Amino acid sequence: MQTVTATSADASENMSDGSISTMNDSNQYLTFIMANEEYGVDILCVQEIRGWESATPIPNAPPNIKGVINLRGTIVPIVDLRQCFGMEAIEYTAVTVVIVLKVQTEKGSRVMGIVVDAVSDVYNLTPEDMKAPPDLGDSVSTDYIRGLVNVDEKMVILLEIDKLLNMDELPDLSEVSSKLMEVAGQ
Amino acid sequence: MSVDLSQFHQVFFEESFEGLDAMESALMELDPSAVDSETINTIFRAAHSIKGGSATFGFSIVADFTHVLETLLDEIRSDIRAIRRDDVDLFLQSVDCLRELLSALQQESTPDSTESNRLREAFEAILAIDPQSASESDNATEPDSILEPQPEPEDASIDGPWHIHFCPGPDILRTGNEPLRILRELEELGRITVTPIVDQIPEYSALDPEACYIGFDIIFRDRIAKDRLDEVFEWVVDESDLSIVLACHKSDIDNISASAQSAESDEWKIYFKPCEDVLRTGNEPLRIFRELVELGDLSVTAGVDGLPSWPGLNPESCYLSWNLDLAGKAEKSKIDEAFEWVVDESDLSISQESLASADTVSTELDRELVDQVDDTAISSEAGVSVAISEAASMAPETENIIPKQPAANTPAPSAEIKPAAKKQSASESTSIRVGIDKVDTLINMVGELVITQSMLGQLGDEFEMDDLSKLREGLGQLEQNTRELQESVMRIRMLPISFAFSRFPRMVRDLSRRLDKKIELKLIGEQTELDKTVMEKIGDPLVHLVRNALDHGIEQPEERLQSGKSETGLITLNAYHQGGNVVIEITDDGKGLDRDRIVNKAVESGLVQESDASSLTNEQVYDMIFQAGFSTAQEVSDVSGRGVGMDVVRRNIQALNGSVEISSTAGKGSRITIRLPLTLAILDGQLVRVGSHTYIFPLVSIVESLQSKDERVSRVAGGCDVFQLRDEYVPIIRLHKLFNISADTKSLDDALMVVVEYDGEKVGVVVDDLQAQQQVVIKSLEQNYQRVEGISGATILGDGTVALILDIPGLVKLAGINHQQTNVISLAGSHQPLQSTA
Repeated sequence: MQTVTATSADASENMSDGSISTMNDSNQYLTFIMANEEYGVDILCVQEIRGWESATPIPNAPPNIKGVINLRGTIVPIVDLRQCFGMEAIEYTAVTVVIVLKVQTEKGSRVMGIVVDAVSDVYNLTPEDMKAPPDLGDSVSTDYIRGLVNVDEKMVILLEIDKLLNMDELPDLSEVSSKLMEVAGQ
Repeated sequence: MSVDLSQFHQVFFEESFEGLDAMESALMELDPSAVDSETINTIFRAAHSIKGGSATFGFSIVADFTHVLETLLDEIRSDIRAIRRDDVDLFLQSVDCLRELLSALQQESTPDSTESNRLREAFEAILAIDPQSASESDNATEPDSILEPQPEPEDASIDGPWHIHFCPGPDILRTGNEPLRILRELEELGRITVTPIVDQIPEYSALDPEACYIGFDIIFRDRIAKDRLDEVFEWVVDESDLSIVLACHKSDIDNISASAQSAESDEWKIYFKPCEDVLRTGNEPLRIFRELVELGDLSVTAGVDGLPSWPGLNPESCYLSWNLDLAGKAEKSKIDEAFEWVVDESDLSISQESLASADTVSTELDRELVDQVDDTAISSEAGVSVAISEAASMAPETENIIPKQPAANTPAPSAEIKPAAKKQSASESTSIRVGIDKVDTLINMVGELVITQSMLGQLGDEFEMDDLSKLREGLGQLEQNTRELQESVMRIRMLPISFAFSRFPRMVRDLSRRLDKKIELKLIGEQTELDKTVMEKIGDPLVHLVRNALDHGIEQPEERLQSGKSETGLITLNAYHQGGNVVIEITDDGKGLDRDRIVNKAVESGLVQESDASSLTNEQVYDMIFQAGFSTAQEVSDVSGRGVGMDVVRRNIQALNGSVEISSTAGKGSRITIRLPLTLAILDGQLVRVGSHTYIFPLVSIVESLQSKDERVSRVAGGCDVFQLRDEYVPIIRLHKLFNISADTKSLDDALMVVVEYDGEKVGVVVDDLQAQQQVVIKSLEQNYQRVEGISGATILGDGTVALILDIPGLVKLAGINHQQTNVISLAGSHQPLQSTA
């Protein structure tokens, strides 16, 4: 599935060393796959990657909130990112992955998990590699997108996690991905 | 002293605030007509400790202010002055003022001195009022200790100048006292001239760096009461050789000090600058000074102008020069003799001056002297012999422990003299005081836990099925240990509720004066313990409720007399434990809530329909005052009446998982009852199952659980079902409907009903099954998620999964149950709902 030739590096090694990013002005991004599209998040936000385990549902929560899990004594909500992006929900299997992220909000940092299809790779990207998200019209906000990157002819959408997972209003992104694809296809 | 005093600041602040609390409560107890000396002493001691502490840490604004306070207190203490009611007010204001000063200092901001200056002037005015009568009565017995705190020399009733001979014991530094601080304090009182007495300093080899060998002869030139001086030395008088005599009486007391010479005698001014090599020639400036001391009263000022910078400093050279003032009738030849060995290689001038001219330089010189004493005292740990002989080669501030290596990379330590040096202290941390018995219990528990653990470990190593009973036993023990441990850890956080109550006597006193009401405050159950977090959050609501009781509850004295009550109103604060709750009751014997007025107001603001108004129960009416923006006060006062408050009170209490209710009798008074959980961290829970989900009820809210019967349920127009529970009708919440989940059965016949009570109302919650009862640790959902209606938190069960804790009031709200409606039904069934309020 991966034909990527960009610089990939060992995530864990660089996580422990946070200074890499300042060394050559590049940031590392962890990418994951959802519905055959590749998305990336700043690797410094990533706390850990876990396999899916059943979560305790929260009553009357929106469908994209799968529930809460016990992460070593902390109650962590799990968000299905597929459903955030308006993709079809899929059956969770043993290989379904939860990426636990540390999100900065005005009220402090929150720990949340996102359910994705699979984890893909780690890229070193400089700001020059990044393209600003195209204007998708008034109806679709692109605040949640840090930028777009072409890695080996394949588009990767880098997400602005802090804005995306601001719990007070989990955005409806159903249009974003489809529109982006349209734009990219043109 | 290079000890970083700032590390003690936090302790000082905490102790000072405690002292202020003690002062405040003692002041409240103080009855001006019958002064209890123990109470006055308590106040005095608190003031004195704050003064001493603040002076030590260099918070002079606090120290100065407390000093005036203390002076007045001391006069009251020694029955010289009677305390008046106004004085008490003034003292209370100064407690507030000190609090502000201290918290400003704690936050490292510059305190605002306007208030303290105003109060200080007020105190000084009081102190100036009747010294005449005071001193007359006092003169007869103690001629030397006429009290007059004002250091103004023009006052006739005080004495001076004083000659103070102060030789601290060698251990003085070890007891935490500091001659330097005493000298500084003296300097604040008036002009002083200090002469160190250095003849006790042993040889360098025999010198104990932690002992103090220096004595001081101090001439206090201003006129002041002896008591003021005694006070300065209060902490050290026991371990020191101290005499304070009038300088003009000197001739009578020659035996006091060998060096005590009349201040009126001639004075020699000597300028002595040895050449740099003086130490290498075997001469020793210190020895010369010692000889001079034999001749008379010697004061020394070291000149450090010649001191080179560190790199250029030769440890064996002498760079210092000295200005010496030798008071006494010494002959010039004797002085010359002292300098005989060094005169050739030194710059030396000896001149004679009369005291009159010496006085003209006094102020400036005094400061210099004190500064010089500063230096001496700083190095006094190492002893002055080092300071003088070796300091010749070193900066005077140095610690001198290793005199041969002066070029050690010590940064110029001058900043350390002032502990107030700008240092960003770590963020303010709060602390609690824990009784040692609680800690001991905890340690015992941990010991037991360790034993159980090793027992289980051993059992696990070579486990056979026969040991199963042993294993069970061990696990049981472990469970007990854990629970006990948990309880004792919780107890550490528990504080007696007097922490929250203590502010009320003062508040009631101030407010009752402002409102011209006579009010007595009764505190009951102050020892009831409550979690610290709960305590902090309940403070403001309580203040609000007590204010309300004062302002709206208690009537004016005339009104009270008319209605046949005693003139003095009574407000009672009562706290006690009930089940897993702490109950706080605020009772007043005032006029009670005015039902009609509340109803009118409610109708006016559209809260209820006029037609419904008459059918409302008293509880429902009283409950309305908790609505936002609801106030029946005829006019808004600065005490209360703005209509914000009661709703906030209720919200705060509910945020603590507590409840509040009101009962009232017109003309007799009202009672507000607050129920709070003991702690916020742990909950006794009842696990219930709905379909595949597990939820937890707080055990305290459960009244009973029973098998529900379909035929006992009746449907009410408006969508809410009610259940007939004996002689009441209770609304039903179907949890699976509410939470939109699938349950085992939709029929009520197979389900269980958990009857819970909240706010005096009962609600039946339908669940599939009851599971275990257990203590659960409350985890926040909001920390990483958000508030969920109907859920107060989450917890982790034994198998590691998360279970949600139900929030009863939230459930009721979510279900949209309107109790008015159900009450109407129970009325129709001619059954009164159970009155939960007394």
